[in-house]
Amino acid sequence: MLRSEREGFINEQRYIPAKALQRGPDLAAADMILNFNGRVKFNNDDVWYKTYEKGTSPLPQSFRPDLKLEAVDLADSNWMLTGMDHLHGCEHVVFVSLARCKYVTDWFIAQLVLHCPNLKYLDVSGCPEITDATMEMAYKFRHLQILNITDCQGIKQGEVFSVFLEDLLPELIIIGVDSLSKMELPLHEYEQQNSRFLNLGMSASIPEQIVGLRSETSEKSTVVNCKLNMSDSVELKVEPLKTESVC
Amino acid sequence: MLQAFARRAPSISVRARCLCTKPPTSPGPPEREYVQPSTEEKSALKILKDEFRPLFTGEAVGVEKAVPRRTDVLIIGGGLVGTAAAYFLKAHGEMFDVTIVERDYGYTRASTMLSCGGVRHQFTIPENVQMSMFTTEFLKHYKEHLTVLGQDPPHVDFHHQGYLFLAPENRAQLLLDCVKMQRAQGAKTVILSKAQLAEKYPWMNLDGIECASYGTEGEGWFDPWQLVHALKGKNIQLGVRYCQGEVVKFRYDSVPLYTSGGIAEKKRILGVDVDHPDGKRYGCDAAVIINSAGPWAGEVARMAGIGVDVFPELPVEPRKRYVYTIHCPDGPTLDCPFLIDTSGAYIRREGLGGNYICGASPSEEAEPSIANLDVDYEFYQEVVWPSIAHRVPAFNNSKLKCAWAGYYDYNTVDQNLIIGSHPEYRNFLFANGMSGHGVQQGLAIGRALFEYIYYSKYKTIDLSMFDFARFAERRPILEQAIV
Repeated sequence: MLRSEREGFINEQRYIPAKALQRGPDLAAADMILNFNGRVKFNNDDVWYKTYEKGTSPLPQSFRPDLKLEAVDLADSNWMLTGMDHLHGCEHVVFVSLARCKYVTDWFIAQLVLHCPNLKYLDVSGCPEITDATMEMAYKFRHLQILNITDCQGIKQGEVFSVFLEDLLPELIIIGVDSLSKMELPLHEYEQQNSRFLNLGMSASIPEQIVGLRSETSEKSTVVNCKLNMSDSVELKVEPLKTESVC
Repeated sequence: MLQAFARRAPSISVRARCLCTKPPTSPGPPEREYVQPSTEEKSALKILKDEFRPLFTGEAVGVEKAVPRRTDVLIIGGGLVGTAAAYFLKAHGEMFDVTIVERDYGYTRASTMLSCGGVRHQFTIPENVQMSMFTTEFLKHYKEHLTVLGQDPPHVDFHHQGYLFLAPENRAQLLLDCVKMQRAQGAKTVILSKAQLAEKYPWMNLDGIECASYGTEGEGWFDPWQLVHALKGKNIQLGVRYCQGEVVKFRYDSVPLYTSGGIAEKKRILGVDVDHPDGKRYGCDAAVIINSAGPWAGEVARMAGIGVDVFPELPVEPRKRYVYTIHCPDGPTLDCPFLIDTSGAYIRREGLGGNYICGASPSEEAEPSIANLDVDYEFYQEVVWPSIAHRVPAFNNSKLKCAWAGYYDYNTVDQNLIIGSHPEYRNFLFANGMSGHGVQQGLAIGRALFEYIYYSKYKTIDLSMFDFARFAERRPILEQAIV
């Protein structure tokens, strides 16, 4: 997607408080969503509203205090982070689908946590930029019932997070992860080997009386800080620096 | 004919060298060959020779010197602050020739790599809040800023957990005022009462706590190594020059100053001398020199004469801080924020395996020695562990796994940023003294330095109150919420 097109989307989806003040936050948000090929549903009936083929909008033009936005379907759209500002004040939203949106990142979910805490159904399947941080934040939706993360390539530890989420939110069903496979190492040791923070301290020598507390399978430090190879070309090669002792 | 000239020139200098014998002195550091900067005269012959050398030696292109003879902006120190300044200078002001001098490419002692990587908006000074919010905004769109064509997209994991500051009864009013100020700046912090805390965090012991402030959006932690890696990749693509070397000396020029008492001499910084690992000492001239050496900024400033010839000195010194990794099988899992206790101890979750990272700031009297990065485990047993075990009873059953130490670039006067030019040496810029907040404020400082150099004033965030002149004018700016 061209950069100018992306910036165009950001510009078009800007939150204008005057519009929200005039029509109410629910209708203003619905208006913006319909402009970008989305669908909305309100709390009074079971109809999904979408822009008519000739381009007009089916929504009422003036403020309607009885209409509350309940469901938002933004699948396959170009929704941007500035667009999430429109959901400010729409606390009744319970269904959000951001499936296959290529610009959706974890920051979108952080905004959702802020604006729509009563979410029950969240669908981020097929979004390439969603990572484990979404799973970390999912517990903040206290009423979440279904979380769909099929085909999210960024989520690496989906099974592990699902176990923790099931503890915190007993009613939650997570679609898109397999059941937790048996790991050879306990989780804390697996993370010890793969996390930079947990390996920073391996290089410090630990005095005798606390040595017994370390796990028996501790190895020499391999990755402490990575040396960045400098070369004239643009290619950047990163090699782990094998150090015996730091400084 | 040119070859004859080229062969004759070195022989003259060899003979001249043999003629001047130096008296034997005590063995000091090995003599380094000096490579001249651009202000020293280079004859036309030498220039021609250098240009045609590739032809005669058979190289494809001329080899650039390891440290350039002159550059527009010289950045001393390649941590997050220096890298961010170089990025903003090159990304928005493409005409600058930017060079970063870093003495340790492995970053073994760099504070950036040894920091916990937390970002919080909860400060007591509005400008500090704005700086952290700038960092959050940058991290929201880092992929657009830092992607290099033809390479894998950069990757910076941000964990949106938020900071939780606990306050006892006597500090509750201060916390309320602070939160009001932070919300006015646009940060999304909320106050949680004791009942709300008990409901949200049932694993916490709320003894002595009146209320707490929690950052709901944009606060959390990330890995600063990933950010520096991404910035460095982008910098190289933009054309920033990275040099490995240690700055050893500053070179000056004298300008006559016409005063009422006669003609005085005013010194002006021309450039630096850099010791390169290949054994030579390179002279490098620079129009602007940025001091982003982190904890060692005081040393660099003294080398420039600040604190030696001109006063006051730069009040930044390294202070050692310990960070401990513990393992607790039944501690708080996903809902563990970056918890700051009333005693000053902090703790945050690292991964899902029950590992946590904790630490505390020692009191003024008990400051550890900065000679090396050895860890003091007594400090954990006596200061850190009692606090966190009292606050989170699950940590009574925890084990200390390992620990590391890093340096804060501690501003001894008021623990706040020092930015801007020196009043006398106007081309020497500071970016020091963040006292533990360097990772949060680094990007904003980089942007501010770019604006100071390009526009001569701050545009995004007004950091003019953090200038160096406040030490001479005795108006310290105290930040109360330091961790």
